[in-house]
Amino acid sequence: MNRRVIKFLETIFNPTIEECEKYCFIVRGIEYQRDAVLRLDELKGQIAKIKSAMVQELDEDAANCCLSLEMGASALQHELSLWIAIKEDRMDDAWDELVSAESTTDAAVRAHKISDHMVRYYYRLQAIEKLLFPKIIFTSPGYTYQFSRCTICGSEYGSCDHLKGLAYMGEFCTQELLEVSIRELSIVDEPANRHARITSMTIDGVMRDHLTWRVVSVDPHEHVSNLEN
Amino acid sequence: MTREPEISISDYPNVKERINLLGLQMPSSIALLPRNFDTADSKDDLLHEGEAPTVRVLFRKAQIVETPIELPGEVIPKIAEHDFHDWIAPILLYSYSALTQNSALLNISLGVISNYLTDLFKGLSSNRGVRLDIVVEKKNGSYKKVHYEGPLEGLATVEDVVYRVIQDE
Repeated sequence: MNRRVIKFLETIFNPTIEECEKYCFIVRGIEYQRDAVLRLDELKGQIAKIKSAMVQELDEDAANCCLSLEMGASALQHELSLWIAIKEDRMDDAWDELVSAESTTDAAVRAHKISDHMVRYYYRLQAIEKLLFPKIIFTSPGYTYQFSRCTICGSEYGSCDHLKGLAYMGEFCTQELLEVSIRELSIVDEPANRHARITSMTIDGVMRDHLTWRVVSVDPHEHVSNLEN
Repeated sequence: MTREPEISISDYPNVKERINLLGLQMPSSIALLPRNFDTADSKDDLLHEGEAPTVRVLFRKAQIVETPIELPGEVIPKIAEHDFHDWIAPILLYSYSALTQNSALLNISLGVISNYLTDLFKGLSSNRGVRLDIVVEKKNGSYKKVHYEGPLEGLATVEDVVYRVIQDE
């Protein structure tokens, strides 16, 4: 492992993460949590600089390690933002922050073995989900596409040697779909994108927010009309 | 809770006849078949699984020679569905000669897919599974489909099932 990365881990990353983790409880003061979010932004900026240097040195292992650290710091930021959102009564945002915390944790583990220990953190997030949120009804679109592009090299995905979901020189390969047509929208139990969900439903003629149970509209048609406007 | 693997075997239409009917290119030994290859009325209706390009990369990197059934310059659209927790492979077609002339071929094919998914599922997606169909040409020229659905660790068991299937009368 690159010595510069090791030094950064020992002297800056680990101490900052340890400090910010102290505030990852709902009972912690919101002011501390907001401050921790900002500190993690700064940390991510520092990681980005080191990653850029590692890319220049063509040290893929070090660059992917930095990517993993970036994702780990983001995961913590999202958890802090979850608690902040709950205290500020922004429950839709709270759900999105939880999902983002889970997905960035997943990304951290995938990017480099430096974050293997974050599997335990993922279980913590899952426990938070079960305790705080009702069962979510997810939606999932299905598409067809003609072509797709590799986000690492820009070639037609499948024609290069990059594989989606894996990290290359500090970046994840993803498959950008082109010439897309929507086929369907499904209700599913376990989608790939957990941000997409039913947000409100009509029960006994009253439309309610699925998370807060607050009345969105007593006339569901009015709600749809408002959305269209 | 540990998920149990499910393997089933079913009849599959004659691939060569379907290739001719749909105006496609006859595969030499290994090919990826579209999801609806067995039922499509025309070539224009065909849809590949979204992971077909990924499997093509995996096979190419492992020097597994796969013949596209689409004619040069033609593109079969792909499906992108995100409502399955499992990773869904494209249908893998193996001719009888491919499997019997190279006994390591299927093992290597499943191995490269498994290795990729091990990296992809690392840690957090460990409860994700795999859905994989393998269509094989039997000794008597008929075709069977072996369907696997279950944890990644169970994928290796498919190899024995396939070799039993191709030899069965």
